[in-house]
Amino acid sequence: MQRDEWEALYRNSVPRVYRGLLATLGDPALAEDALHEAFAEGLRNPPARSENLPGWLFRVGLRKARRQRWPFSSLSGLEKAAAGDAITGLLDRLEAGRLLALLTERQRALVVAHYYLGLTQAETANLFGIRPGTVSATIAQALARMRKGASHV
Amino acid sequence: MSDDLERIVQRDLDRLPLLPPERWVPQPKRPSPLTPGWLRPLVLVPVTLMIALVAIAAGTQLADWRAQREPAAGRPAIGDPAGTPESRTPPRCADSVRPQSEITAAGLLPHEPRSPLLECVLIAERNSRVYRLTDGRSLKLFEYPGGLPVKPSASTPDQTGTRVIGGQSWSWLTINGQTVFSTTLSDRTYVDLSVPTGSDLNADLAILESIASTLRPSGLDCGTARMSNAGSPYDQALLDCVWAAYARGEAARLSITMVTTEGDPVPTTLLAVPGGRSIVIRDLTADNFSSPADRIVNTYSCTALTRRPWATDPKRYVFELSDCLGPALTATFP
Repeated sequence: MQRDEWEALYRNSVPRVYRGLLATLGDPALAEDALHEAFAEGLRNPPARSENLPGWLFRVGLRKARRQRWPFSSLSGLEKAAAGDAITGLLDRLEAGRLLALLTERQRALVVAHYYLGLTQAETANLFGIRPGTVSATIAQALARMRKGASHV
Repeated sequence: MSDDLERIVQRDLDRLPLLPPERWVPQPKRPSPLTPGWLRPLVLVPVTLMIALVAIAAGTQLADWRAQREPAAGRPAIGDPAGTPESRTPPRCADSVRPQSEITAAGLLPHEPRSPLLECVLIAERNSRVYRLTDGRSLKLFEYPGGLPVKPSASTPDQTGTRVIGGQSWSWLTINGQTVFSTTLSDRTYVDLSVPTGSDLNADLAILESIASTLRPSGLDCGTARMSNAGSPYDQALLDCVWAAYARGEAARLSITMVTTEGDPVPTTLLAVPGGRSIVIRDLTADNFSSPADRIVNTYSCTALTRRPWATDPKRYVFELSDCLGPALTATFP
């Protein structure tokens, strides 16, 4: 796939994928890096099918973020940090941000994939390489925790 | 899912600001004015090594200084409240290939002897440790939180007796070629120390008595706290206590009990272990309003522990643990 072709497909998915990464990782700089890494990975090894592209970008971005979560890797300028603080502050003020913060990163990832990116549990399971039952159980635990937290936040 | 939560997630995440479109794709990296890209590993590796060496040297000096200045601060020895200045955690035996984890699964800091009679640690796992004594024999330490269950004994001891060490009564016996010292401590932890019986029983008892007198928790207990609900503030000083100990290379324990909306307790314990696996144990068994399948004890065993400041109040923070084994790859505390 040519870069232009890939970039056009990718740009259609960026809004949801970036917001999903941001909500899961809680760190704007990390989310941006993860998004860029997913773009670069798609250039090198494009996904086989494009209908689930947001999910694919989200999963690849998360995997890259986990590998790159090293303090020096996200140091890319003071202006980025300042902007990041503002976004993190907003995330903390939003009800969803505070509820998602009650979850583990894995729970957040599955909740975002299923309820924000709109993937089915089977698609989520396939994408994350886990069993559908695990997706279902993890999401159920996450929702229980969110419901419990909803009365506090 | 509850539609309300789904709606909240959809609504709020859509309100998150997007990056400017020019930042949607990575820009070609500009060469650093200070260091060309290809040189960075050459610079970073020696700098990292230098920092690590300086940190190790400084840590050793600090530990020596602390050992001389306050040998048993915050960790009174059982039977020897003052501790002994020369007592140190025994090092790992160079020829040991067995596990060296430092933490009991029950969420307690294990008790550890600091006697100069111990040459090194051969095995350290969960509730037991094996040390090599300076006379070449192995000493086994076994502990069981909550008191040892009564069990029928297949053998009858050859000899028995008691000793009082620092106000704590210990029983001793010889059985199956072993001399065993045992007691139940005030926190209901059963502990026993055993060595292969030598030619001189009195000498063995003296060795065990000397080692038992140096037994103490292997880290700092930063206490317990109770939060009225998930959003209420907790005492930051308790977290500071854990972080200060962790930063100076000492294990620390803290237990915080959260209370659900319905009033059920969710005790969560952190065992911060520098250089080892830190543990978070979250006990959901008393959460009676959760699904029965969720009423379990989740244990996360993680290699990295960092502080994550609150975005709304950077003076406060939570602990974030990563690279975990357990229900998730990461965990937070409290």
